[in-house]
Amino acid sequence: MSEIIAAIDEGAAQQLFDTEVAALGPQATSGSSSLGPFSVSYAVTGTLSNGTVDLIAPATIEIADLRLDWHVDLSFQLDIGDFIPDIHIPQVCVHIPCVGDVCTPKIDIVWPTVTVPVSFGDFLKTTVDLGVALSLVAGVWKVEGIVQGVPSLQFGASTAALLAAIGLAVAAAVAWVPLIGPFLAVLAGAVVAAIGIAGLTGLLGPIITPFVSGTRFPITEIPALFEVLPASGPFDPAVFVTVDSLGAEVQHNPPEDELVVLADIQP
Amino acid sequence: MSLTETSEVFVAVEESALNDLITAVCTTRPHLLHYGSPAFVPASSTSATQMAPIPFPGSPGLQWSVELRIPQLDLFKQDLALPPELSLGAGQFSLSTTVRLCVDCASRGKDGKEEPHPDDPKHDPNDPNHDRGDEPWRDDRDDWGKAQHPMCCRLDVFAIGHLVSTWAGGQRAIGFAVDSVEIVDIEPNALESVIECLLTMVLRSVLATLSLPVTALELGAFTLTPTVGPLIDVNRVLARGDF
Repeated sequence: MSEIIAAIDEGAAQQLFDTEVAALGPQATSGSSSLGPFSVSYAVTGTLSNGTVDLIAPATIEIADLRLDWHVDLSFQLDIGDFIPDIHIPQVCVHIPCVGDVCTPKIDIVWPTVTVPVSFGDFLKTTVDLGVALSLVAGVWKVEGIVQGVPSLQFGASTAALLAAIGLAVAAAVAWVPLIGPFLAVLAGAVVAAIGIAGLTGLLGPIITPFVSGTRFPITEIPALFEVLPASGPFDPAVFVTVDSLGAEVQHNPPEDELVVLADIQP
Repeated sequence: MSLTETSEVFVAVEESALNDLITAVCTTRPHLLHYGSPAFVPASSTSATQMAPIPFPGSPGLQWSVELRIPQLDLFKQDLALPPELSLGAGQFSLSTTVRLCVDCASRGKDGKEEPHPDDPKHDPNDPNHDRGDEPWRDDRDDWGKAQHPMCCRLDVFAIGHLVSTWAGGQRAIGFAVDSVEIVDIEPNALESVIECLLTMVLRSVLATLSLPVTALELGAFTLTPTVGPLIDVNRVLARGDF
């Protein structure tokens, strides 16, 4: 039997995770990946906000409706020629009596490669199960909730919106190209079609999921050499006890589920 | 039954952990259990607290010391044996310790020399140096820390008490209050009563300096603002409160 027991109910656990999730702050990452047929560079930020905490014995903390607000800045190279054939109109000359040869100009349109920047943000909600993990690192006992497995993030309507944003971004990026006007809608549509829903989820899933999976939510930290009383004078040095062992679990103590920390100490 | 019941946070400290905490405090700050006048405690330190000699006419003051062994607490229900005069009730703790009482049984001879006993052949009532009882005791303040003739006794002391809410270092804390004290096997009874009264006052004073912050009871695992307790449950101290 443990010498010290500290427990909180689900209401307190909700407050605890509200605070801890907010304290995580924005997370950011960048890199390169594939967006359909394109290679993209990206910078993405994600901010979690807490959902509804449900303690499930013996060792699970479920957070339903955990919200992730994300924003991604993409940039990819679009070779217009991959979607609209280059135009080569040879010179045509007509001999007109009394006038001579009349020639049309030779027209060669080689579509350029343009950089398409896309900026887009949205949010998603997911339900995660946290396992209760315990570690002793650098003299500090840490109790954390760690997301178990890889949650399946549902981007839903946001992917369609992002596809639309990509179409608009393409149109804006190529607007300066001479003679593109008649082809603009076709180009944007072709690019969007080439990426497709699969291309978007193939990009967003791997770069946004890490903001949730593997996330460690601090529950509590206790120094292995715990200060009972601070120093308070020349004859009163600080008083410490050693925390020999620590445990953490979810207990079902009807009618409640409680998050319980167990400890043994020695002077 | 849930641990937290209608509260948000629950903390329980078994009596073994409570004794560990008290031992840690008393081991780190032994001066909380050791007091004495200069002949026994030359200066206040972490080890002991210097106090004034007991003033008494015609003497530089009676030199004394009181030293307690680290007290052992037993929370209700009773696990440790108690004298029959004491019984441990619900919500109470018992305390057992050993008190060492010392006095410096100073000679009244001049320059610290022993006065020969009246039956001693060397005893000369006409000796001008004979102590007639009207000479002041030697002021031995130059000999602080050097009790000349320490006489000590050890007494096993048992007490019953209860927890009190207090503050330590700006934090909510638990303190220990003494309800009654019993010393075993002192005759006559009146002497036992006097010494018990003396030790009750000593214990109350000592325990008034000994308190444990509530954060120490739960190792800071969760922030607890007690609304229930801390109180003594069965063999443990528990508290409930808001997060």
